[in-house]
Amino acid sequence: MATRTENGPAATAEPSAPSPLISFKDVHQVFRLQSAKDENGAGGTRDLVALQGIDVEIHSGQFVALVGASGCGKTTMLNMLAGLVHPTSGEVVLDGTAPELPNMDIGYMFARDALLPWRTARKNVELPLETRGWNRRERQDRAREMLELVGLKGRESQYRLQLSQGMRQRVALARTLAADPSLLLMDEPFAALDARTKLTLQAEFLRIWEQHQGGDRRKTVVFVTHDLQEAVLLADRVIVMLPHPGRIAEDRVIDLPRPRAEDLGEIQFTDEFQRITHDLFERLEGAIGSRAEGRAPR
Amino acid sequence: MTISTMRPAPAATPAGNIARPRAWQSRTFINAARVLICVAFLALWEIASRQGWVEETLFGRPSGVWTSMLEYLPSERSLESLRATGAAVGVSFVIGSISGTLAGLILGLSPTLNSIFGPFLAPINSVPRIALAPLFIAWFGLTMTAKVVLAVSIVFFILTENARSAVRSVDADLMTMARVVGLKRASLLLKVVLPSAVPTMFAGLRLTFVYALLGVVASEMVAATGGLGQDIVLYSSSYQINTVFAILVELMAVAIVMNWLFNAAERRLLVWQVS
Repeated sequence: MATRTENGPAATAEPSAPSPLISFKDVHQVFRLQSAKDENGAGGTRDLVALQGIDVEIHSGQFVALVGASGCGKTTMLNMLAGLVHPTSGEVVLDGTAPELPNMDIGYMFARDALLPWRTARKNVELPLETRGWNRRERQDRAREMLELVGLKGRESQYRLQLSQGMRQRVALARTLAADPSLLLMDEPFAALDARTKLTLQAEFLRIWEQHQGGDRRKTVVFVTHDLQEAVLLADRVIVMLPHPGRIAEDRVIDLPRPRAEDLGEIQFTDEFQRITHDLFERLEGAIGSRAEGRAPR
Repeated sequence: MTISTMRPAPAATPAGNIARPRAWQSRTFINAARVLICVAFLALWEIASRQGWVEETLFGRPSGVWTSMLEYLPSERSLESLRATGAAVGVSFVIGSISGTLAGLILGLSPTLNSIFGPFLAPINSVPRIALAPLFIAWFGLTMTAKVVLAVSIVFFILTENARSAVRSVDADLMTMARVVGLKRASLLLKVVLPSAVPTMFAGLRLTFVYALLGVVASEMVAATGGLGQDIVLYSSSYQINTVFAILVELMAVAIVMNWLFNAAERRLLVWQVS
């Protein structure tokens, strides 16, 4: 079998690994929303259960994809790791402590580039280095190096509006990686790109990650996406989530061989890849179908 | 490269859509039309005045305006008035825009202060400021202060509102990114909040100059020891209509020059907005 289902929190890609880098312990998240009056005339607020009973452990160096439809709480989990959101109940542990903002060992990449439009590409990449106290010379050298790494040599002095969508996301990737954080939080980083640019960027990102970005160990990646294929293509492990309330439906290790960066286009058409995605797809869609049937009318 | 796939080649556009611009869409035609309209208007005015279709003493005539401009504009009195008005506009523009922007930034950044002072802004701003001119003149006398206070009372509120909304509408993604990257307080303000407010604030400043001019001239028209507003009142009450028009042309020229300066400054400051 190319895939195996994980049973319980103990099962990870490397069973021999010590205590996990990240653990979610029975995490619940409830957002209180202001809403118009409901059918009972109560009105006021409405509780939205974004996450329910999340138990996940992620070991250092693992590439984990969180997949699910919008509203399944995957971005909330990412924001918890960044320290932007604190769980209503349960516990999130990152490297032994509760995540705090800001964490200088985190790189966060967004679906929309979030580049500062008044800064050049190079100055955007320098931003995280500024908060980490690098001096001017070091920042410039590092930013140039990172832009070259993502294939933007010669574009250093261009502003956001002068760059294409794909190039903006490349700059954002360079910024995310610039300070060499050991944990990458990626929130649908390639979702806004057209199919071809997306594949190119996925391959580039994977190449950088698989080559450890010149470092001695792989970075831990938590990669949020709604695209199952993307998840299977890139990740070591895919966690399928379901919405309303946000919960985990499936947690699988993807045993596709690495490095994959050079053959991403090919891998998509292998039987193994198709079987894995098909399996997960049925799990995702099947669960949604049965939930819809079982749901009481509103 | 990926870029090439992202922009459709020009050839892909159906030929019909990018057909040669028609004659009436060309730059030359548009410019010619503009000149023609101005010339026709001036000619009609001149003829109407010469033929007695309109009363010359009340409506003046372009040739008369031209003569008045040559006589009045270089005169000692004119230069003195221009200096008085210009100084008042300059001072009120600087005071009004700095204080207004600061107030707006503070309100935009502090929810508490905003909920205390916010509700006062709209009612106060709805008072027709020119109605306050007699009051300010009574308080401050026939001084530059009276003019400046009136102009500032207009400018301040425009810029407060402008800066407040500029600060509050900072892109949410940028704020999240900045917080995750580790920017806090002062550096967050300097590196993200203020730069993203600059385009909106610039648009406000441009508008503000016109209002500062309005406030000063209006105040001078009510009562003042000098200035272009005072001259307008003086010459119109003595039926020297051509000179009044000459002053209006002068005011327009000042506004155009200032607008041009703003454009130049904007182009330099906001290079990043041009794709």
